[in-house]
Amino acid sequence: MTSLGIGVLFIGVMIVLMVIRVPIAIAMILSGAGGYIMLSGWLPFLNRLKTGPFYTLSSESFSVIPLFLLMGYIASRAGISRALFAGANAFIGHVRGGLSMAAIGGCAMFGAICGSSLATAATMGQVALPEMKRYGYAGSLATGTLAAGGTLGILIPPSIPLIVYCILAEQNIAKLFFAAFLPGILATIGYMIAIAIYVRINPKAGPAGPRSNWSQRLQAMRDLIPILLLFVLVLGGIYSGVFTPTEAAAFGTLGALLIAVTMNGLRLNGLIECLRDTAISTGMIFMILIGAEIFNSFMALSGVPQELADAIGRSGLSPMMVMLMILLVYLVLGCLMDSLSMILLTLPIFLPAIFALDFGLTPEQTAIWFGILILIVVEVGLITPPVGMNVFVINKLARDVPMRHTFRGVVPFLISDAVRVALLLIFPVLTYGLLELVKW
Amino acid sequence: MAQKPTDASARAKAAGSRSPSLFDRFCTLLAVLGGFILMAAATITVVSVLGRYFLNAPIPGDIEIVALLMAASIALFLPYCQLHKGNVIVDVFTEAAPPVVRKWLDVFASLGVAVVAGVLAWRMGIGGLELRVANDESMVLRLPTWIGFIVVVPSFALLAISSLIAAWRDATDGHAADAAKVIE
Repeated sequence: MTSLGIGVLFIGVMIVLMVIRVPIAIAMILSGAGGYIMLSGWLPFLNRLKTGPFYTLSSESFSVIPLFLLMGYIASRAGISRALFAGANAFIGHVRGGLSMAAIGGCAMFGAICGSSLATAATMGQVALPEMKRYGYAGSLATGTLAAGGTLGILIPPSIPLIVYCILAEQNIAKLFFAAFLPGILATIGYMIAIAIYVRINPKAGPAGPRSNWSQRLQAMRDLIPILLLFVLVLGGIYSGVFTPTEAAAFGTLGALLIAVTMNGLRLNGLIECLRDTAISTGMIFMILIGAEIFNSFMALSGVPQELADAIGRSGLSPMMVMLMILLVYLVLGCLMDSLSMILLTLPIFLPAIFALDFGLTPEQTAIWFGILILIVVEVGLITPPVGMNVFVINKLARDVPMRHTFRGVVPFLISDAVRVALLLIFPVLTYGLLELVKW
Repeated sequence: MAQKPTDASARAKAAGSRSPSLFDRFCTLLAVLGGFILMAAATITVVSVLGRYFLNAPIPGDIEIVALLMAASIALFLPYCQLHKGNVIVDVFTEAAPPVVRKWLDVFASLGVAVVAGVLAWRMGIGGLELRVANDESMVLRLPTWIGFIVVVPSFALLAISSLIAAWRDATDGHAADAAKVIE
């Protein structure tokens, strides 16, 4: 059997294992091990395991992940979401659909201190859903808003999937975090426009709230100051080059803890809850990282990624066509898998193909553009059936809203996502332009 | 569902209705300990950066200490993560399958985790010993590399044991497949 054949065979084995409920990480390890052993024998493989997984756990580039996770979980318990929602609401609550827009604004701001989509959706949902219910918002709009708003958590930096993308594509995390900012703001504005259009068509879905006066607005803004400081410390520190991402995450973790303890009275029990949440998410992600490391070294041995890149080159398809097809693959996979496993599994296969194509961009511009596009497309999987995780999480918070209403409520935001992806495909400069403007 | 939410209620559900055993408590304790180690790593990083900018005196070899703490912390999370079904599975294809089929597939999957974790513990055990014999050290502080393995190897062994326990629970509990289904 050729090495290519073995490569394809064990990709098949991995898919079968996943379908029969073997954890994704373990499916990657088992199939990667099988293929690796067939290609280069037992001994090299067993030797590889002696230190490989240890260095994955102690890797400096990965250490940023548990720190940002912990920071996000502490921030979720710091009462920050209430201040964020109130702050946004003081300014736009009085327009039609204003509470929804405020929730989106709150999600965007929370996304700037939290790298996880689920945590963002759940945290903002706890605050915003009861308010929306009180003002008679339609259940579909309320839950759809929060489910979609949660995706801003991974689009707006810090972002765990973006960190993993940077490590795989050998890109600078600080630069990608900077590049993701404009698309994140575009997403926020796009979602608000979607709400505005939706409530124009269905005025009853999102009635206007009372107008806040300026002293209320000032008060709301004052409450935002500690959060703003945390945000400036973490992202400002990364952008200015004062901190490495890991250092920024360490400062952010302690900063979030300070806010949680002083402003929201977080006690030891609450902190332990945060640590336990961090343990589950971190354990899950690092098992996948260990698995991906094994599977991807097998992939490289098999030559499948290179062959795919060559085949695409020979096929005569236009680069944009290839890009569209790859995004489509992510869209489909996103309906089945979580975003991180998907990125880890597919990037080593797709990246050589993408870099071999001529989009009229420099390699770095291509990497940034592709990374942002992937980030948006995988997040769509979080709000579409059958496994829209954000939808499930939000729906659990709003028991009176049927699941299908929530999925229907997400539709305006999906349209907004589609428009944004089209924009970024046509104008790649929207992703890397800001970086070049500041002459990074 | 492709990923499980990690809030407290989901966790309680995932752990099933049984009261936590001594082993559960031990794994929880280790995970919390890992969490505090993570916070210690954060604190060392912060102190070192402050020292670098304000006193012109960073903690020497801070990155090496943090790397060891990180490895220990993450390894301590693993058994807890497994006990709480934190490992991501793809279950859209088996949603329609009868609960008994799902149950035995989950038993099989947990056994798979146990085998993988066991092999990793075995190989890293040997790897750690070899590093010790070779006197492998870090660059700045000359910390022996193998000390990291003291935490990581037993954690993987514990991960194997917790997977076996999870398999046993699934096999003996008639409602295991439903308990695993965090989201209705």
